[in-house]
Amino acid sequence: MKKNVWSRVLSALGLMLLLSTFVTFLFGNTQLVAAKALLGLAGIAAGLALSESGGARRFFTGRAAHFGFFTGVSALCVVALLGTANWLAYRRPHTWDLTKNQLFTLSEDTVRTLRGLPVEVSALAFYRQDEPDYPAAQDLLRRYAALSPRFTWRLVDPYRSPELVKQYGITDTGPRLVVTAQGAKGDARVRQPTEQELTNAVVKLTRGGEKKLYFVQGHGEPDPRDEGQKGYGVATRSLESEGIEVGTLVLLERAQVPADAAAVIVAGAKKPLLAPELKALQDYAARGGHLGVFLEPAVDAGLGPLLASFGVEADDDIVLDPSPVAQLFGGTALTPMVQPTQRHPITRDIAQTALAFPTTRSLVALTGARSAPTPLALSGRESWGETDLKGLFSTGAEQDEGEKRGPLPVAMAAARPPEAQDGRRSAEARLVVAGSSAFFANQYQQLLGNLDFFLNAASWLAEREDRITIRPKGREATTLFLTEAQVTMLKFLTIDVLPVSLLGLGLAVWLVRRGK
Amino acid sequence: MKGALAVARKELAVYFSTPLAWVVFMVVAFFAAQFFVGSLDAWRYLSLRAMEAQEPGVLERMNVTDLVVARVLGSTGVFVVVAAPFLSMRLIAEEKRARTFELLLTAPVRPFAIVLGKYLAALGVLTAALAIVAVFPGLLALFARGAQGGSGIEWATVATGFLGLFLLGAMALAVGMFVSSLTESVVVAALVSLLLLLALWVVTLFGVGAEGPVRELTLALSASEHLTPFLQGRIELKDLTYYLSFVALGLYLTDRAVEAQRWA
Repeated sequence: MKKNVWSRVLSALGLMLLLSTFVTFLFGNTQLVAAKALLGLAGIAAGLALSESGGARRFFTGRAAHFGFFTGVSALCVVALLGTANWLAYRRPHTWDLTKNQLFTLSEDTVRTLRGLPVEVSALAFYRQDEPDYPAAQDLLRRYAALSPRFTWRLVDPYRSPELVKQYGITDTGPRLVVTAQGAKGDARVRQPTEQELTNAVVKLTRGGEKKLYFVQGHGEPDPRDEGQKGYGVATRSLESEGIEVGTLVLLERAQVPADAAAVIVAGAKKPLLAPELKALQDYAARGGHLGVFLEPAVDAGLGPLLASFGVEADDDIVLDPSPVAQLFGGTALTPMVQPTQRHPITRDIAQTALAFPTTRSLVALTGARSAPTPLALSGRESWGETDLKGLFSTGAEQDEGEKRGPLPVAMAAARPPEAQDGRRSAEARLVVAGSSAFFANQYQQLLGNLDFFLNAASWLAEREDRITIRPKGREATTLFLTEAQVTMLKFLTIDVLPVSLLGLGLAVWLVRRGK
Repeated sequence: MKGALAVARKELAVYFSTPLAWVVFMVVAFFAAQFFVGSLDAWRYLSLRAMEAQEPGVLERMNVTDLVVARVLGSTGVFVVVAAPFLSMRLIAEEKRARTFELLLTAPVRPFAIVLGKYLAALGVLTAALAIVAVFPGLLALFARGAQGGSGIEWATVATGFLGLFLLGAMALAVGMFVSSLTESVVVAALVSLLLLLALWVVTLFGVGAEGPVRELTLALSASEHLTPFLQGRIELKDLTYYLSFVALGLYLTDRAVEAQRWA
């Protein structure tokens, strides 16, 4: 073969090797990249060396070479400039969020939390690139890091880093995002890469002193850890993700509320509490304790005197709402939709979101009590308090004379001024009472604003008013109901009429042009 | 600019008097319609099932812009990548093959005006193809209603989706035109640009299982990854910079390649 042909072949091979180093780089083997680049350069050099006499000289000194050289240099400069611009845009994310509900804009609470981070916080997210949560996690973490230099993050491929998976105890079904903070004990786990969970994890780690909330047990109350339909498992997990520890309390065993209780919840008691238990709760309230009472219909749990001391009484009725709109999410008049009021910190931020309150009693504010309770949620105008509970299922429900008409309060909050005890003044006692104990059970917690209402109430009781209330944002629901005829028409228009018209138009233009 | 517009007008006349633009329109319309009908059927099935199973939570989350329009636009992205090389293939290569390029270079317009004019013409055809796809959200808007009243279509989200598709098309045409400036064969120009664009579309496959800078690089290079935020209704600075960088680089390199003809 002629020297000139060898020269071209070697040059081409060298150039090919040099250009393909980029693809090799994507495989992550730097040694192979270096070897290919060297071989490529050697090939080009050999090609030039073998080129016809004076060819190499002409290549470097010819008129075209000048142009090629300057073009090459300027092209490299342009590439470097554009690369820098891209790198800067990547490092300093800026978003114009044009969605209707501002889906991709972090809430003010998150911005404030991140800008005021007292310590270094880091997040490790264990997702593979092909997992559905990967883009959401990456996007969220990147936006958090852009707000604070103290927030760092790393995405870890669980298959490639089994040692980290083992170290953090990551499982397929468990939380995959671990947040740690400098000086904090342990870490916080995030189940879904959402702003609500991630911010609360950061808050939990950076705000010292965990609060403990007790659920009273022993009278048929649902277990706070139960994951069944009637249990409170989801609500408990949500409390814990926000830094509130949850425990159970059997008052007969202890005779008094533990000193570390930030709040005590009595939810769904189906048997009356015994006298020593009631006394323990009353003593706790007298010491400035915080109580959450969530009642069952047709059950006298013996909590009347305790509620009365806060100026609240629960009626022996069940609120029924026959309005079809009010039954939209519950399906029956026994699960009315109730509207939160704007009068209390618990409901101020969720006043626009209705709640579904299954089998709820109505409440009454007593006059002359030491505290004036504030209604938290009211039933609809068409509702009433049905007192004939036995006849409810046998003869059906009808509003009788003497039964209270809606709107009826179904949840109330009250704060009692401090009492003097043994010469010492105690803290303010707090009470949240609701006529329903099922609204935050696993079966109903996801409906409307139910879970938010319960979490806000628990946070107020635990004196965590600064809890981050970030409602998960979503797009507005759309109604689109099409008849069969409309669907057929849409399909005909889009699959048939539109492309065929375009084809016809094109054909006509072509034929007219041919005819000229 | 005057020269560029004159070249663009001439090029547009060529596009619309030959079957090329019409075939692109028809193909985009036909396949977008298939995706539209498929997404609409999926929507109807999902809402029917949610109503039968009395799952109000599902109905509360169903949004037609997200579940139908964004899916149609996302699928149209693939056709933009496939159609662009066919629109750009003849821009320079055909002139070189027909030996009319030297003639064009003697015209009283600067080489960059020629490049820009041809590019704007191709972009015009692609914009017309995207306008056809806008028929689908328009049709849906006649029937969809928002839960809080008003239109069921989130027009701002639809607009950002189309902006994303337009930028993707602009990038694909710039790449295609540069390749077209390197060869005399329109077939080679189309195939090579299609290969390059498909590689940029699926480059994330290389990053699956990788970690650190390699994964970041594949994501940063991917044309499809940069389209996603637009389809969701947000404009990210990094995505704008990405597409516009390719447009700038493509036009610059084409200009250099055209200029090289004078020096060859």
